[in-house]
Amino acid sequence: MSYDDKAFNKQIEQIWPKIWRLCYRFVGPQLADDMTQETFLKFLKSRHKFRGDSKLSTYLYRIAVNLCIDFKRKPAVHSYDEIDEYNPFSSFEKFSDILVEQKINTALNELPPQRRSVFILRILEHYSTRETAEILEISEGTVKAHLHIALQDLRDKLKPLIKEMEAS
Amino acid sequence: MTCSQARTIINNWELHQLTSPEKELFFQHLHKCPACAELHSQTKKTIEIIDKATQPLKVPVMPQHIINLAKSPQLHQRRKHSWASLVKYTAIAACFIIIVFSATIVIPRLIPDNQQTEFNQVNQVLYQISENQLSDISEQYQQQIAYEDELYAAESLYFSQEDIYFLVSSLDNDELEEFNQLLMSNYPDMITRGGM
Repeated sequence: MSYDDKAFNKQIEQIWPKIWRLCYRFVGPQLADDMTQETFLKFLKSRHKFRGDSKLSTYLYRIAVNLCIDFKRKPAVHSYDEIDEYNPFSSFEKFSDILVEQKINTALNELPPQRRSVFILRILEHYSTRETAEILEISEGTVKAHLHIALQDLRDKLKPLIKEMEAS
Repeated sequence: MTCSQARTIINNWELHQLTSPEKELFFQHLHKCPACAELHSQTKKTIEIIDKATQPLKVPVMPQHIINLAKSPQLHQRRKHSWASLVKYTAIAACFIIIVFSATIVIPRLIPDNQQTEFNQVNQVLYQISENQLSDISEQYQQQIAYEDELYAAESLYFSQEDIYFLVSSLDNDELEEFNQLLMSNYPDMITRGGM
């Protein structure tokens, strides 16, 4: 693959938004850009390590997920809630809606990293069980188990919020 | 479809993977079973609000500097491990080993003082070994000599006694009396212990 490989560059440009969205879901709006750029820089610097065993998107997803998990594991110098509550990409506009958004994000962030990764990839990013297992380098059975527990956990935590939203 | 099957589909969120007849069966079951319908509804709402809360309205395009970076020729040069570098590193390692070997073994032996010292040390060791061996041999020899001396002494005594008996038996009474007196005066202990 040469540096002026148009197909490769086009592929990279197509994957960028997907990776950005994944990082957005993981670390929030303020750090999504940084995480995405870091993912691509890490890939481009060590591109020779990519042997083509898996799809390029899967490989990049793996790097992004690992970076996001590592970031979350580090002592919280800054977190999604603390940096800035203003989210330019949010689909919520009203103040009450922003509070709801924060509650949802808190419930999601309370999940263990791997369970959260499974939920985001499998449910929000619509990856299949096999693809999720490939990205996270775990078995399909583990993906199913994590998803089962994550759904149960989130249902229980967000049940009052859903009722509240329905009532209003 | 049973409740268990329906719950598995809900918990694994595999609705989109179902075929049309399977979907029909699933929704028929939900119409009949309020518990499964409630679970499905709760799960769907939970997923929808999480999706909405974590879904960005717009996604930024790839920044120009990353595009430029992706196109940069330096990044695309694959680092190769050439044989030349392998030979170079092997040569460096060999030189290092030779230097260490020379410094610790060869060079000290070339210095005259060290040579003399080493020669002396070797001689000392050899001398010590020979001394030990000689002392062993000497000890064995001494033991043998002592044994032979004892043997000789015993033989001498035996033959002396025989001679004395011979001489005494050839003495007449006067001479014997005189011999006894001589013994009594010179060797009183021998007479006390039994004498002749």
